[in-house]
Amino acid sequence: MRTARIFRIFQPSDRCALVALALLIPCLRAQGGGASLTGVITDPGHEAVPAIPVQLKNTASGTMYTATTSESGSYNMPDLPAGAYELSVPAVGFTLDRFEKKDLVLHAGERLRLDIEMAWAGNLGTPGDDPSIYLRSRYARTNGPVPRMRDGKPDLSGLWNGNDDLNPQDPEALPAAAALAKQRHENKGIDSPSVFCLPSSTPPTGPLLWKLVETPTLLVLLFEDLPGYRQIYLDGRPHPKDLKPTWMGHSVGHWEGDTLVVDSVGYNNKSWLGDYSHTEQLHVTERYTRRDLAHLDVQIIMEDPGTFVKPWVVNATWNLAPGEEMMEYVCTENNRDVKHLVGK
Amino acid sequence: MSWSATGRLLAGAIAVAVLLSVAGLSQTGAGLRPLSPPAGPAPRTPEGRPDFSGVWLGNDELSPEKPALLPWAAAVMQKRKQRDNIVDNPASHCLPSAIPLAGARVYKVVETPALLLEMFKDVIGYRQVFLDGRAHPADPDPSWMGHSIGHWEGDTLAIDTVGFNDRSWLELYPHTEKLHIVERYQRRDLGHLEVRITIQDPGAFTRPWKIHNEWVLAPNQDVLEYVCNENSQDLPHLSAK
Repeated sequence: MRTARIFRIFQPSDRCALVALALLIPCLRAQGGGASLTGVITDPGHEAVPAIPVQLKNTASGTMYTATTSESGSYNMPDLPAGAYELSVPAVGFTLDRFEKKDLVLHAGERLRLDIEMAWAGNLGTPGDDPSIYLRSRYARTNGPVPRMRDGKPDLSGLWNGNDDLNPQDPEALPAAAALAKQRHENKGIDSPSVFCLPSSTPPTGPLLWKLVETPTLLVLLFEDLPGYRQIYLDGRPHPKDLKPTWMGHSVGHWEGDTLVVDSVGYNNKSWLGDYSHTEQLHVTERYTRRDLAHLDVQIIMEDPGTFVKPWVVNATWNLAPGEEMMEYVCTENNRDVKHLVGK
Repeated sequence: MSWSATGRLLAGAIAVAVLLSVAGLSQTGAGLRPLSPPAGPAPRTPEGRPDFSGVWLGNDELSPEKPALLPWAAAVMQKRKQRDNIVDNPASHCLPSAIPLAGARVYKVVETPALLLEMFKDVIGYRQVFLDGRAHPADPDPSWMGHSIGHWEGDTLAIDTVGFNDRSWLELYPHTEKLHIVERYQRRDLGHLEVRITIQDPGAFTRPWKIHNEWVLAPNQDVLEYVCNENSQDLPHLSAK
């Protein structure tokens, strides 16, 4: 079962992680002005967290500055204008919770040191339970151009390490749907489909491993959840009339330049999107753009007039993990937790 | 493979949804009435290899042969037959098969130069046969479906699978982690794919067990979603001696 994923992906953190240290180095006026922010990011076990993004948003201008932590977990953001900032470090898989600090102020010429200790997410630091950090670090230096098929279209094939949205958006739901989602969140998702070995990765929004296998007429998505695979037809066929509702829906894709646009309908009403239910009116649009060999930009737009007031958009970038492979997912094999789950 | 009376009961209880959902077929006493597939030569990939891609309908085994069992395996078989082989069957508990052997399945095959992908209605739903020259891992983690690699012998694809756990049933037969399955795929023409399976397990069988299937192209079909736990209401009602 995967309760951690269910409520974590779509909820912005309202249970903020610890901030370990904020070392203020006495102001050194650098030549030419400009502030800087540096620090080291660790997990609760004091291990460095490498190859993860750090985002710094200037609240006045809205400009976003980003950096990526090194092998030793350090990040460095030089040449920043003085002002007020919001810092965020996105969640990493099921291992580390999203971290936010909203009241950061940088003075002109100031070199601020901010070390961050992130908090464990759903896997509670269990070694080996979630490979997200390991995979990011191991394949951080993978690079190259976009591979192409014989007909010139981008080849999206590969084993991809999924990530959360760096700036997750709260969906706007109709009152009944919002109330139900709130109740489920408070109940810690103990009755979510994943607990009962039912599909929980309908649109691919989670930080799982995703394997894409592309041919000219078909894109197959393999994943470690039920039912294990999903077909996206690229042969120009339309959606059938009067589709039998299914968990994964019926997906067709077409190219807009180098972006694959996938349209899916025909969903049943049984899966959860985060903590939200949806109706059979769910309509999902996905946009896949392979930026380079190692990065796939994924946008997922979920629309459901029976649940949401406006489309719910998730943006994520998947990282290539070329030496890895899918493992079997056999939920019923050892599903012992069910009796022990505690809700409200 | 041949279906004993209890085997057919099993098929009825567990697999009826599978059979009914494969439109256009009816089940006679002895097996399925085969479709007439389209005619034509076997297609090739741009690289010149036989292309096995397509939606295929499995057929009952052409030359039924039973495995020769070691005494412990024969004893387990007896017990399974006595208990009517439904209650304990992994499939009744939404657990997977080692290899989808039951003839009446829909298989969707997608072939790329580096990978042969098969999708079917079983708990795991797909299997990957790596065609990129990689070897089996030296010490595989035992899994339900093992690790499959394929190489070409002329126009025949030889698929070799090891690394199985010992938890699945091959029809009703037990097996050990020494299970080793070799399959040979040969596309006779557009509409026919011959599948010859050799099952070896020195921990359970005294000699190799050979199974011969002929798959028929079913271009108007597709593999359907299978979510075993969705409506698994039978389990409390299954009874055994």
